[in-house]
Amino acid sequence: MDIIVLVKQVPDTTEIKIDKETNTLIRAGVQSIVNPNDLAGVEEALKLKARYGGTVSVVTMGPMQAESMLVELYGRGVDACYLLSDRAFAGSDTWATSTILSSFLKTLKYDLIIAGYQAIDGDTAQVGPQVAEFLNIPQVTYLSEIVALNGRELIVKKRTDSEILTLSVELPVLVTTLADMNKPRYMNAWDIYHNTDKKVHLVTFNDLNIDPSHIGLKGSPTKVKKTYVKQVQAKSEKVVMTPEDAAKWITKLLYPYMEVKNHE
Amino acid sequence: MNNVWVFIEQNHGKLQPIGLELLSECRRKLDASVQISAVYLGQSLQVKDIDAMTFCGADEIIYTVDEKLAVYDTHYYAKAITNLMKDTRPDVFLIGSTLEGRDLAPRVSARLNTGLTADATLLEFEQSDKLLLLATRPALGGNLFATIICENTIPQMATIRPSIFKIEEDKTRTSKLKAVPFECESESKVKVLSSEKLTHKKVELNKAQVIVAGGRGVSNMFPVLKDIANLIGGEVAASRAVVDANIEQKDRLVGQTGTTVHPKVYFASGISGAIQHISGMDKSELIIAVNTDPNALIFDVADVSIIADAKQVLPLVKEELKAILSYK
Repeated sequence: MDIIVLVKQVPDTTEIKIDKETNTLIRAGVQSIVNPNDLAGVEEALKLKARYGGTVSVVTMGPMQAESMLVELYGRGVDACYLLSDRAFAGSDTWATSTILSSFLKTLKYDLIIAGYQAIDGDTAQVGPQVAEFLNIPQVTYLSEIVALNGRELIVKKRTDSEILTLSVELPVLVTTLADMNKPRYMNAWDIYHNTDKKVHLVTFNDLNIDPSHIGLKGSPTKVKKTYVKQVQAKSEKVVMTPEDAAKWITKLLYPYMEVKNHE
Repeated sequence: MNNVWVFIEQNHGKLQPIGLELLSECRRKLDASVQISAVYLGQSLQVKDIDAMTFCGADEIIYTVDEKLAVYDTHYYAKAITNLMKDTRPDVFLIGSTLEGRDLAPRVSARLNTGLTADATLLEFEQSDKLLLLATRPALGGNLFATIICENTIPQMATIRPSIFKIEEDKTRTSKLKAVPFECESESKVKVLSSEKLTHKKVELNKAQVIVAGGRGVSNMFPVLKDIANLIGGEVAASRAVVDANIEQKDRLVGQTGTTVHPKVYFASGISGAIQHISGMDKSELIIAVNTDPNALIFDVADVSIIADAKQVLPLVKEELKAILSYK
């Protein structure tokens, strides 16, 4: 089975701070990491390869600095890494990003594409399904387990709000994975040693067959009109309330969290 | 005429609140010159659901019913939605940011080649000859907010987080119905082999996302605390005094000698807030405290500080939650 994993290099958001004066992100000193959901996807792909044979390729889009992330993935045992990087790609929203990724994916051979459910720096969960649509293949999002491969049929488990579904899906398919699905393996000396010669394949705008008006900041259908920082709330004042009003207020505060548990 | 479509999610035939929340919010934010349509896909459409959608603000209910639409399937649902938009596209198309909505919306936006904003928490509209949607979403852990627009393609799409907007009904409203047949030549490549219901598992306290905690002041109210915890899918915790009195087990104790917790919500009732308790829960994201004593130390760390008798408040919270849940 030939597997492609879509990964993204993201800033470690637990370390991100916002400059209150300028309302911009303080990026200096913030570490870049492999998006956790994607890393679980890489691990899943390597496990599937061990079970069923085939290849694992990784595709990312981003600035040239993402190369270091890909070199690290070689150290985990990935067969081939592709970096899609070009100034023309900068500022792409999810639709434009998916346009670029899918136009490249069309040139590769694949049975299974794994993408992380969402990236911690954007939280959109959109690129996976959009790529699947552009490739005209089925999708299964929010996967909790890949159970087995039976011929050209993949058996997977997926969680919904109220159920765990066992599904069968015909290859080729795109699935999206969650970070808690797998504990990523460490790089090992064998893979690091044997993969030192492997080069990251660079793909630029000229290598792809895309309409330039469909990509980058200008080609993106959505635009950021403004950004702002939430006013920091001081610890609240004490309020004297009737039991009825208190109950209404508390209910309003609690209600949004009911989903949290259901999604675990 | 400008128009907004709202996707109405159903689960095994039951309307999910998110669709009604979105209809209500759109009706509040838009004047009567904008037509609001509820878009319903399913196996059948019940009269009480037509009423609910109408009362919440739908001028029109566009629906496709078919066996293949009984349960959510990406292939059939995306096809049904794009069928509805074959002749005319709405200006705006809103979908709940649920697991289902976040599977469907990007698929549809890619097929229609239009922009999609993810997981918005605030909706605003600019009405001129054109209707512009301004969807605002939290970014990077919630400190930063971004307002996103999609000026040149329609429908302007967004997924919107559930439970943000209030459901508001006006029973004098009326709507028209529009049935559209389901046309899909191809079969879905995804098949459901089996499903098992998720049951409420007991989680370890330090992994709980929502904690409903009680102290000495509510020591006889633990059955109600448990009901509230079950309703919202949370866990019950207790202070030292309660555990020492053998009302709750040691594994429910929060604090220095018990468990340190960091849930998304910590709801503290009748807990005075001894330092040994506070040190075990002050990293919670949202702390709601109810106590009769205005000088209770818990108020120093609480984000919401309510001076009231928790013994009276708790049964009412339980009733309120039950009332909301009956929508599900």
